[in-house]
Amino acid sequence: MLPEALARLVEQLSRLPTVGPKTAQRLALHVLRMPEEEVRQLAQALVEAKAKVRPCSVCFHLTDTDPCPICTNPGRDPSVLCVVEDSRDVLAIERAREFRGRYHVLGGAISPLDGVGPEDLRIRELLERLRGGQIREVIVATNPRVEGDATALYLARLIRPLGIRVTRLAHGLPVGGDLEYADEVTLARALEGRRDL
Amino acid sequence: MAVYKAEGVVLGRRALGEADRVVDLFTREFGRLRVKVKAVRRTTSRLAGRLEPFTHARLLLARGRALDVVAQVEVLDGYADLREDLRRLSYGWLVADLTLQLVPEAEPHPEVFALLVEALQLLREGDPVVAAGWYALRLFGELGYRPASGRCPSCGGEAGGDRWSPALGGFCCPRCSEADPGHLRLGGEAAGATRFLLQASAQEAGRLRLSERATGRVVAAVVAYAEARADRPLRAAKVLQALDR
Repeated sequence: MLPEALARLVEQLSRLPTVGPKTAQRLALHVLRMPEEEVRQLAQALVEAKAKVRPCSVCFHLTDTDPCPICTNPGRDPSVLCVVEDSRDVLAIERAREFRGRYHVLGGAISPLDGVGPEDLRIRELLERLRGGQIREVIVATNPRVEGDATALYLARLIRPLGIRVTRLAHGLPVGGDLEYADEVTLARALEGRRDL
Repeated sequence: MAVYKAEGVVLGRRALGEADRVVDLFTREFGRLRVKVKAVRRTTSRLAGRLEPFTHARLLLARGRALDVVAQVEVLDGYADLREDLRRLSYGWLVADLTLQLVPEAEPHPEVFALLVEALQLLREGDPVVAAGWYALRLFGELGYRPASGRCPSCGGEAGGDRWSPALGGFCCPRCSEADPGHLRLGGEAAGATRFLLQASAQEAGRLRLSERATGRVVAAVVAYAEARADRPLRAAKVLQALDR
């Protein structure tokens, strides 16, 4: 039998994604062993993150300043827009340190079996940004899955008539991977997208 | 660990935990199955590209506790070209949703599997709207829900017109249709096409040419009929309206 306060902590932790009852109990017991100051910092971080972090009103990436630092950075190219499904994708592309344009976070991908259609994504907001006239290229960086492909096709159909270049991230073999283990669809796309040496 | 083989088509999937997925399959041997694929959302996964929706594959499955687990996949046809055409893709989702909503889990239906594979071929090569309509109508028949086409399912009277009642069970007579506020008037072309598709082979369906208006009505008719049988809305049909403009 757990003390009531501890049971409440376990119960709250087990609501988190991927945390089952066992992991929740382990985490709760770890929290009890932590120095009080660290526990206070953890609690404060939780409350503060919830209170301060909002989607940016321009690109919808998560931020604690509005507009976000990427949207307001004068060093970033305002003529290239990278469209992603989720804020996590912004973080992934930023880690690559290759892209110097700006972003637009859709908030998901078209997924008919889950009842997610174009009107559930931030596509209207994207088109409004594009009508501003500053953007020359839209890079569609939705995930290379059926849902991401459908979203890319749908966006291309809407954006092309505006006279803006629409590109899609290349599909191919992962760096450091083995050709032997590549699946047929990826290999076929890698062949299609081959480049001159 | 006990393993078994199956030939199946991927209908859909959803994320599970950190990097796993639950995949809905329709197999020739065991009917509709829900199986787990471990670590499939990582870029290092060898299975990810092989288990995208509409992929037709031979699978090796291992018995698991709650769900069986995919061990190996050999792709027979990835239907990658469906993914390059939003219209074909949209109706492909409708075909998948019809299967998910109407066919109960773990009941072998080899004849439905054969229909599904033929429907995917038709989606790729023919008019995708006709393909989805044909699949739906033939699926109803295979599952014991064949819509009435000649005699009114309510009174047994003549039902040769264009009045389609999802609730009553197909084409019905003018008098009974008045009692069903949800009945549809399909018009002559769509009504004829619906009766034709009910008994057509995939090849015959592939040769059918219809006006856009009539194909729209055939799809509306089969979606309403499927929703009446499943007693819930088809999500893919709702999104279809936004995509197929």
